[in-house]
Amino acid sequence: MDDKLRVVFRDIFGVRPEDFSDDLSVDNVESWDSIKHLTLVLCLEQAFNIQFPAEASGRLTNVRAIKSMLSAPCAAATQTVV
Amino acid sequence: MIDTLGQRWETILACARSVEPCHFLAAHARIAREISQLRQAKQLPKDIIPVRIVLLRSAIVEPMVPSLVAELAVRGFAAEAILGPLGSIVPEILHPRSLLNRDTFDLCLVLPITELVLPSVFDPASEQDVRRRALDNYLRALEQLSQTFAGHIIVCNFAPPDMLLMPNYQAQNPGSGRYFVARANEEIALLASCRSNVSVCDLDMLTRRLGSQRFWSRRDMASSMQPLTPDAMLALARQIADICCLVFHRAMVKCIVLDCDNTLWGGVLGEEQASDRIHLGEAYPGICYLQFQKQLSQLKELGYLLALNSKNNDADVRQLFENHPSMALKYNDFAAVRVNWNDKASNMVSIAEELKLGLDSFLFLDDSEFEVNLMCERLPQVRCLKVPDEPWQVPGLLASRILDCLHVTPEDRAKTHMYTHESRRKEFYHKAGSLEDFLKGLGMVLRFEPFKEQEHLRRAAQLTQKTNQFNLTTRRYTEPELLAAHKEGALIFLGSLQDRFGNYGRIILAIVMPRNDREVCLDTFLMSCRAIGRGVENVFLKLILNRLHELGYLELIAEYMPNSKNALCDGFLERNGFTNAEKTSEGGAICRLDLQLLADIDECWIDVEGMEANSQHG
Repeated sequence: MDDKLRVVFRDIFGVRPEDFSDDLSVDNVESWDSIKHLTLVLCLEQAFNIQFPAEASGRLTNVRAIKSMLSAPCAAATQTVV
Repeated sequence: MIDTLGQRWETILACARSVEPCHFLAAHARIAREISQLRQAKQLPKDIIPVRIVLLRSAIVEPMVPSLVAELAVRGFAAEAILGPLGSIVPEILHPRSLLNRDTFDLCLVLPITELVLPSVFDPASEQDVRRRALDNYLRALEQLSQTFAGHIIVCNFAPPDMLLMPNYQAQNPGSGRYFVARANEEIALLASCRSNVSVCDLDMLTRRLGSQRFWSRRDMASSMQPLTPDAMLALARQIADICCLVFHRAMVKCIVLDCDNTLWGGVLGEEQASDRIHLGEAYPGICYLQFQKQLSQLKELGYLLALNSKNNDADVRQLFENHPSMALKYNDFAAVRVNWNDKASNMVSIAEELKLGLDSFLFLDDSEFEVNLMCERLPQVRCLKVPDEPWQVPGLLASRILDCLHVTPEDRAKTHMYTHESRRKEFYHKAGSLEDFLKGLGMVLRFEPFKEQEHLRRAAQLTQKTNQFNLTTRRYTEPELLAAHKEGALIFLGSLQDRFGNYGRIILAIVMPRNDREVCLDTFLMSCRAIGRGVENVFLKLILNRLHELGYLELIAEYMPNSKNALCDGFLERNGFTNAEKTSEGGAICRLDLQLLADIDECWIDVEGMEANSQHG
């Protein structure tokens, strides 16, 4: 999971892989604004092949929260259903 | 230094080309950032077109923008996109100090959300005149945009609704929003057909093709005003990038080169298999190949040339074309034919020579993976598509947007005829005793035509975009750019040529920019390569010199800008009396000619028309 997240953070925010950590958040990543946040959520969904509920987006504001959301089976369970 | 620049761009391109569709968002974000760095550092390779895009939009589309930049990069553009304020398309156009009107852009992209631009359009209870007023406002704004914006405009048309209340009621009612949107799209198309700087991006068709469920993200629209699913972002970015290729005439296909067996018909034509065993006709799988041939024939009518490049016995193929009852194409629909046992790359080179086209003008279709790979490897400029093994997939092959254009000129429609005339000329050439007899026997008439917007704009811009070999400066003009130059005083002259075998159409163009009362510059001088070797360019130049002299100018300054394709122009200026005044850093020359020392026309085999009409303008 760490590897995938490291790539996503490098690609979207330009965070160097060696600087990636659980402590990254909207407060300390400069380019992490509300617009980039939309891309981040969509990228996480692509990378982990899941779909977050609409309310989840507001809680994914730091790496720790993202990790716990990704590992919580119920939250991550909604695969794309048409 | 230049190498490393090129390499950096190539690395970015390689990434952009190999992105997996299921993970593209992050990769495109990175690619777009790297391109923006290269742009800011002004480190773009020379042949990459920089484009500044302003995006007017109803909703948040920022997550789509990196994909647009990446898809444009794959097609040879380094794009920078600046977004107008959210939800403000009409005010942005109308306000004199808006972002759009304060700054300069090459391209304006208009991306409306139907329900936001035409409020209550899908409300089954709403009145029709409310919708009509909203649409009229919007169309008026687009009209104004087309008049004031200096670059090109791409307008996405209206998508049908994702959710429709009372769909059956709306379906029965011709005044319903469902049909109103279709009519609105026709009105947008009407605007685009009247305005040379407006093109439509068919969002309507795109959402249908993908399915509106897959296209629209109701979740993101509700939670953050961002309407698109990732699938939609990718599809829309590709569609817009494809239109940009058409607008900026990026490497267009002019000729479709075809294999025969399992491409134009099913099965293999050969001694062991009689021609009645070939699949072509009304029954499966022959119907697929018949449909494919009909599509090729339609494309031919619109100006694409067809050619054969196939490993068969020529006599067998000829016979099949003559005798098979279901053949939709005829043998003489092909502008060039190489049916032999040579390798296909060598055949391709010889077809390019015969048709006088660059290799990047060709699209090669073959059912054999080996042949396609060989072509890609030996001649990477040629675009290749593998014909699918499943016959029912074959007709879909030509729906690819490599084969598309925004406008069709009369010259396009007549193109295959012109090549037929050309082969008759060749026969005549072999019969004629000498070059002079041949030229005299052609009975050429060159018609001199000063620029008229209605008649000439489209063709003149097309000539600057498509002509490579006989082109002194290779300056490319879009229609709006050319019109703007004309309004600022540029003198534009075209020439059309005819001989006893047929009409060449308008094939020669010059753009002259006055510098002051005494001096004029030859900004552009080009001729379509099908008229090369007749002396037409010398005659046309002299007509222009005469005209400039009549207008009172004393000196003409001309530049030759050599590149990999236009070596045909070497020495042209010097041969026509220009003195080579200075060398340029790119190996070209700036030459001058005294307009008071005019020479006579030597090419007595060319008659000239249209000079008297011009003196009224002068």
